[in-house]
Amino acid sequence: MNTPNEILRINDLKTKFFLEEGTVFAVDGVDISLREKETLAIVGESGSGKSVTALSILKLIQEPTGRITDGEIHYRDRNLLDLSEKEMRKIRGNEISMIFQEPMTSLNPVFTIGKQIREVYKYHQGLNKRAGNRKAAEMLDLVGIPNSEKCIHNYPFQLSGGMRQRVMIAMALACNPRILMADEPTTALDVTIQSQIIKLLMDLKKEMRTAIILITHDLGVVAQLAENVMVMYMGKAVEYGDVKSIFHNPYHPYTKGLLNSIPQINDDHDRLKIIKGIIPSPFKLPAGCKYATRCDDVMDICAKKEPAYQEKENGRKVRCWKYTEGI
Amino acid sequence: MLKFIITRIISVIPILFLVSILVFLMVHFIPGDPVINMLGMEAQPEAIEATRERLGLNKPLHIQYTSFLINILKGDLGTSIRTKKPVIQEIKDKYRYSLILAIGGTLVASVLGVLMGIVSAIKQNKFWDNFLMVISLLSVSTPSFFLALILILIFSLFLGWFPSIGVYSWRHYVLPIFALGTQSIGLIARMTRSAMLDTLNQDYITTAKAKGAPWFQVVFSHALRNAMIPVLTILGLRFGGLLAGSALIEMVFAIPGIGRLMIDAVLTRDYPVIQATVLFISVTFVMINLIVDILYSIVDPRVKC
Repeated sequence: MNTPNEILRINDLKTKFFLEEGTVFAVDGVDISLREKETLAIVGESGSGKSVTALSILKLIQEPTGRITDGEIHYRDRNLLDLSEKEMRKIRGNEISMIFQEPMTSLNPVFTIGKQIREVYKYHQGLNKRAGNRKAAEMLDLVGIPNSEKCIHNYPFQLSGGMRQRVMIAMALACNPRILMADEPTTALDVTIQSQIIKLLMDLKKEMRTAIILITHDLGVVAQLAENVMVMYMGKAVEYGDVKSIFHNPYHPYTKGLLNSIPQINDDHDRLKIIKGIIPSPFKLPAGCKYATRCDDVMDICAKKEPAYQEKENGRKVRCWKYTEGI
Repeated sequence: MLKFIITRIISVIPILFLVSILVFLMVHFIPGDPVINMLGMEAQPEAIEATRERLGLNKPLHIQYTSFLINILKGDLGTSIRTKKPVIQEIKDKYRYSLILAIGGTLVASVLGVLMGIVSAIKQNKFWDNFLMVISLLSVSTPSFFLALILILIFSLFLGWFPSIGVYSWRHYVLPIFALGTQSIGLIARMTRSAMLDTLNQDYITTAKAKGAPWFQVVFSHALRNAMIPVLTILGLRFGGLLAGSALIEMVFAIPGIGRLMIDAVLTRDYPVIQATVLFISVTFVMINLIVDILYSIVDPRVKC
């Protein structure tokens, strides 16, 4: 059951992919709590399970290769994992919607922008072509596309990357969803367009009632948009907290590593700081803490036993032996 | 859109010119004197001269070509050497039969092939996929004349559902159309399957699902529209193959089509008829591919620009 104001509560979500080489624990026991209008950032490097977490929430994991094997996803009063495909369709794009990383390939090349936005209204509000087009144009205005009346007749290839991402945002927000999941919304765009899109998301956040799950590895974006941050590593949450605490006083060595690798403009080192090593193969995960192989503060116990995800002050959480008392 | 169609139509004109030049030169490429070929070795020199004069073969090539072209535009394709009738009369009905066969064959192949390809793609590596791919392999590798005989055996001789020769009603067309179209079913099924598998893995399919699109819309609207782009090209090319390749089927089912006419004409050295059949088949081929090009631009808006 969700607490008041809590719109999404995920308990112990596990999503696995069954490949020929072995089983990948893409999401391995993640807990998430999202309040209304909250912006939660999920941070981690590629392959940490951020995107799979988002796709799991919409139950869009490609079966039979991938499957949600365990956990609960409580959205308002229902566990999404108990819903039928038909009931899920009413939620997708309507109550929970998603923006993807690649605006170049995420829009269907053979349909007009108008048709692609209109579809959302057709599926969820039963609007016809004319009413749908009018609403689509309104949405395009909202996301700052000039000449929206004309744009609905354009095809994706006629728009730039930034414009396409605006179209994706318009499409995702069309039905005024309760939760918007943005999967690396700025990664594929160049820097000036990135800041425009971030500004747009910030403005929309003020105007709409939507809660946002922002998936990114760009800590700059996190700082601008998010209230809370969850750091993921190899399918597990390793740290959670409000954005200020995470940036000023990170606990987990991985979080520290991520923050340290942001280049500082007044830094006089010649080399960028990095996290040593690479992420382990998903088929050969370390037995203990998954980060032990790359950690600067590694202890004997780290390689042997996985630390628990422990609650700290102010609702912060961390999964690290360093912060576990009585070992 | 209209501009694109007009440009395409205009671009076809030079191709048609080239076709007419090649068809015109055909007679001149044949070894030996065309008039002697026509009249036979024993013909009198006076008769040869007279025929040469009558056919205009003593004039320079470009004059001959001009009058050839003008005659074609007037609908005059010359006179058959064998039957002494105007070629246009000989060819008109026969062309219609072959066109019906080719269109029917293409329709059967595209409808069944595309459906099989879609089912295979959604049921990838499951029973139905394997089953349909075996069927499509069989269909590609069965020669059409052999299939025609088997069809006659089963559906005419044993079951008596469809007649086996002639063209007197729509029922006469059923077996020949299936015999003609079957080879292409497998080809189109395989093309559709791989194109569908490719599009179903695209990001925009995930977007469509995330919008709440029902399964049917995802497959038949979002994926199929994109998958049809490569399939359409094959379809246009196959149509030409079916039109020219219908000769065998016409033989088996005793249909007086253009393919049979062409073979008869070749065997009896009836040059005006050979020219006319080649002209008809080439022009049809060009026209069908023009239509495919236009369809292409409707399916894929990127083509227009």
